[in-house]
Amino acid sequence: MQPNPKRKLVTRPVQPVADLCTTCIHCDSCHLRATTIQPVHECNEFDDGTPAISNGMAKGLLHSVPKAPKQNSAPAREALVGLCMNCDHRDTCTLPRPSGGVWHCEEYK
Amino acid sequence: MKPNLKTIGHEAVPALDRTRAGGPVSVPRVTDVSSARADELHPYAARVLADLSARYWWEREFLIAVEEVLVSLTPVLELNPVYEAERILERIVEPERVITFRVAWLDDQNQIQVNRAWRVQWSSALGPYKGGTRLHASVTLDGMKFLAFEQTFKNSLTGLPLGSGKGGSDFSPRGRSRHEVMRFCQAYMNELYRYIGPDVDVPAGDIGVGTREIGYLFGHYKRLTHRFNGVFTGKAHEWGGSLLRPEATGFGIAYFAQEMLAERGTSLEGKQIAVSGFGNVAWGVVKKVTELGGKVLTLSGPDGYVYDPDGVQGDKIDFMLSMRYSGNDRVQEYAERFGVTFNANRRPWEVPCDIAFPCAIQNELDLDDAKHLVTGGCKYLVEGANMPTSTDAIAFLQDQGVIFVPGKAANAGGVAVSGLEMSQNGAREYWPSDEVDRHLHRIMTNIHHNVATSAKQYAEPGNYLAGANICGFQKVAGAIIDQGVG
Repeated sequence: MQPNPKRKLVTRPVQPVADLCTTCIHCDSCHLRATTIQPVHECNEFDDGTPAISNGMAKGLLHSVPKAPKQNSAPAREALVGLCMNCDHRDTCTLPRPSGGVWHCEEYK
Repeated sequence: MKPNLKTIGHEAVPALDRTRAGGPVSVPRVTDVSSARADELHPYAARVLADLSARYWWEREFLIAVEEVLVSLTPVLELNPVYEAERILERIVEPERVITFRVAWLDDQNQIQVNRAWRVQWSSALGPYKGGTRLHASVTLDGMKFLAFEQTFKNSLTGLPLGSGKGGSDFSPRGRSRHEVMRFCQAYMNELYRYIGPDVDVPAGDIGVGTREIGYLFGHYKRLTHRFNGVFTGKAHEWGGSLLRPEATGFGIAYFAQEMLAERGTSLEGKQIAVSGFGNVAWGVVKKVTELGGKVLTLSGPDGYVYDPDGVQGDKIDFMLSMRYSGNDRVQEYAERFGVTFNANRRPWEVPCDIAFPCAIQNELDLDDAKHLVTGGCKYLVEGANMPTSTDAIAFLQDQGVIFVPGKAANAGGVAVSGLEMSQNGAREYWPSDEVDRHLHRIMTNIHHNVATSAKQYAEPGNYLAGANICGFQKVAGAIIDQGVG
């Protein structure tokens, strides 16, 4: 198809994202920075809403990271793994059942 | 209508309004950075800066960073004509290599997304290239160059065998699922793995790259190369990471301050301290400074600052962490919990103090804040964050006799422990935290000694800014000369 010579090519300029504040959740209300003129490329308080564990935070410092829920003492049969899966004692057994399953057991039947 | 600035190329980033109380941010176009301080430059440095400004006129932050370093080098260039003869400045202001690539990956809707990525390998004069990886929509080659250049001097100051670099992509993890982040990291590594290695280039985390992303990147590097080695730092401790890395930057800043005060016959004991921020760096500073006898009076967040006349200590330091991880990012919670004053929408520099530690954000302390600090009796300003103090504020503080310590010296403890992670990986060892801490303390003591000595030798005693730039430069320049032209 021949291009229409009367039709102007319209290009929309791509606006670059200027700095960290652009996607920071505190952008509108932050009072940490002194100037709004200079772009910010370094910020220890930057937060874009991604979970802290992926945001450079120390694993050793994550006191408040939710832990995996504890295993129910009487797990559903379909949740059993390892030897317990088909053991005759599975409904009454009170031995510990780690989440990774039991793979050695003298009481297995 | 509020502008949506979040669309780059094919990837749409969830929109936030960029407009703040002070109006929309604009980046002024700069054509001649050097004009303002031309008379402070050595003629050789002025010539190099003029060439650089003409070639990269749009790279404002990079040019300002170069200018700041070159101004500090004037006495060194006068006393050492060999640097001009060897054309060291021309060689040090250009990266050794820049790798540009595109990253194509599939999002959760099976749509192809394309991002741009860079790795700037600035200098390998002192060791393998070393610097963070940033995933953020604002990442550009210009920004990476600026950060890699700054990294050169910081890494040099550590005294460890570390070159410098920086990299990243304009991919934003914000709003992306875990699997999307993983697929992006793997696509990114599909190209980058050719250019990195434990003896070549050792990236680390940065904005948008934490332990999770390092895991995805390292895992894919391992699959592609069939090698388990120390190609990344910032790894989880269970598979090669170093203990004390999260605390390292803050602890190192406190150690530097301790050395600085010791040289002046005093200590942190009983000093009144103002800290900004409440993230990892601020937390480390507060913890260590308090251990060393200082009293931290302030913390700040995006909402304002708290003033605690009894000092941030004990349980209060732990509360900083829970405040951080609550996701609310409000220091007002601290005031409510401990019954102290909260000052909304203000910065902590109006509080009288002996030492100020800006630990939050670039450009957080301007001339007005500097005047408040001087009025309040502040004698020392130790930068915890990178470049938190504006140029005019630094000039004012130095003019008023306040000892100013730049972040590139004070916060080098972070990258120093990354260097220690490389040592541990190379030796197939894990060091206990007290051993890492001992090494960190020694490194920070050495940095202080070297910076202070350079300041005395070439500038004036106590000018840590000049000392840091000169000391960092001379190590790199010496290595470049020793290793010949190429």
